[in-house]
Amino acid sequence: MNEFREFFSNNPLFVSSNFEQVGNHVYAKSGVLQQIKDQYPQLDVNVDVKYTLVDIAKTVWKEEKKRQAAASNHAEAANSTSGENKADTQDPDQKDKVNRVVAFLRDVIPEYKKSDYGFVASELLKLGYPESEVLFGIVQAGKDGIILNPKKVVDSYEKQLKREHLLPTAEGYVDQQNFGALGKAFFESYTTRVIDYQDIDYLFKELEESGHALTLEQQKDVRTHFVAELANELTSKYENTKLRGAVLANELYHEYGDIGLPFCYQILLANSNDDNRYALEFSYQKAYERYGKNEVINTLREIEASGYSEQEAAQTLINTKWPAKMVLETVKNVGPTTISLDVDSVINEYLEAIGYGNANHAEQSQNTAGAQENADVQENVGDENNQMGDEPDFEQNGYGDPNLNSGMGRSRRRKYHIVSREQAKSSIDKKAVVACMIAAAGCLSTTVLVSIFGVNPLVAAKNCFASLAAVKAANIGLSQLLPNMKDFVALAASVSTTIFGTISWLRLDRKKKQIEAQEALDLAEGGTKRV
Amino acid sequence: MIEQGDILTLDDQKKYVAVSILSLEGSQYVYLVNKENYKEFIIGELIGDSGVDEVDDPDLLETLIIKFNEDLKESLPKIIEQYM
Repeated sequence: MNEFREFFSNNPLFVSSNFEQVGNHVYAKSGVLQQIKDQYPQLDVNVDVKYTLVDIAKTVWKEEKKRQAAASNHAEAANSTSGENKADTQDPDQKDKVNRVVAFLRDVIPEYKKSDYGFVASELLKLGYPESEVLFGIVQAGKDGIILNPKKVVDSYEKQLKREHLLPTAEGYVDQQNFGALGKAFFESYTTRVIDYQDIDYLFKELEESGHALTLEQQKDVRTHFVAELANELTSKYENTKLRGAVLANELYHEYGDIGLPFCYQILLANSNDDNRYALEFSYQKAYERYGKNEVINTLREIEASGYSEQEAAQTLINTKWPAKMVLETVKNVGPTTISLDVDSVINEYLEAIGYGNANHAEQSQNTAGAQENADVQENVGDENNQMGDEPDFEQNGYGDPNLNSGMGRSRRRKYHIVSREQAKSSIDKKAVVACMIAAAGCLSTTVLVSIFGVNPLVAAKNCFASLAAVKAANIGLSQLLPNMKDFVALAASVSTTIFGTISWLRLDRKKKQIEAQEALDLAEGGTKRV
Repeated sequence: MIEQGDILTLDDQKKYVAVSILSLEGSQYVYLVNKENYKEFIIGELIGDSGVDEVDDPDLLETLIIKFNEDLKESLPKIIEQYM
């Protein structure tokens, strides 16, 4: 970062009088590009094309790095042939800096843990020395017997340096309030392995420190554009693949499993309108579950290693926002042989914390399955609030809610009498029938996603209605028939939650009745109450 | 005989559209949506042409949801063509 800025601030060509602002971008004035090209004859630019300052700076910097690398290689070659200390081939100032890097590494190594190349690299970066000196220093330190893996430290250092170089570009986009371009720039750095998705958090912090703080909404905007780029790339990559759904889900899991899959998945679905949607959904869900289960087990192990209690373990798992059902099933299956934590206690603490616990352990264990399902309903709705950040205007009328709009949710089976039957004859009735059927189609496909695949209700509803709108709008004027699409999304989310909640409630009710029957049988037979 | 797209008035004095009807193991099941309020729906077994008994078996409900969904996906274009 310092080197980058130092380089451009000392370069007489990169002064404000050589550039002009047009709209949101700054371009080189006429003739300036030729001067730059004269300075860098190998520069891959066309002097007749208008380049932005950012583009020119990036290209020049790339060329400068090539020069530095060539100089470095030359120095190394000279060193290897002469057998002399590499620093001896450098000018006194450079040699001094290299020595200081070596001394610095000697000081920092005691704090250096195995595989923590990033730590060493970030400490080196703080020195603010030119890159070549730092790289020489790392290599020299290795030769001097300082215990580190020079190659990995160098790789990490260069990666962090590149990440630092990204910041001026990022600051420019923040100044322009162009968060789409920022997301795209992050993605380009991601594809060239300069940054990982997690580095975006670090970059946001760096931007904040340089006076370019982004609000949470703006950060979300950047991430949306990042993931949209990724989704487009993946979608086009597998455009002509027969097993696109499964292949794509597999790649998402293996290659991008840790970068906000649900978000990416949502965009993929929005982009996809072919028959592979369900294959994708199913495969993704499976991959995500596997990923989630691994994460739960890893979290448990970390908690165990840290010596935390079962209660703290439960709270940590709750904080992850993973679906309760998946978490509890995974914890249950981990079993006492894998970890020393009492998994039953973790489950109990978890249920207690989310409001489904029961002081009576025996009764609780009987109800666990139903409570999990119920907790999952809660979790799905809660997740959605967290992920989307917008207000779902559907009612959370899950199981047991006396205000259920549907006739469902009761344990008793209601019987209706059909008073009359008619066929739609008037155009008003015909439109009403079609509207009912479209609404039902959206609600049912949403419910399938929610109850079978475990997708969040609002996410599922949005995707289902987006798909309906895309297919039907052109032919029947859907906007006239269903004037408020947002209400229909809320409707589908609400209905799917109701149906899913009802199914869970009915299962719980059935289990409760089975237990009551068993208890009655035990008592009648003179046995003890089951525990 | 009740058909898809029929408008039924039930004894709760509300009008419902029969959006999907299907047969399963000898019984006929219907998905009804309130004509005025799409949030109100009934999933039930048709008792002849005179009654609807709400389904309260969770496993059956799950099965029906999937089948109603498949049926609607298939029949919706035809219904739209027929009614619009």
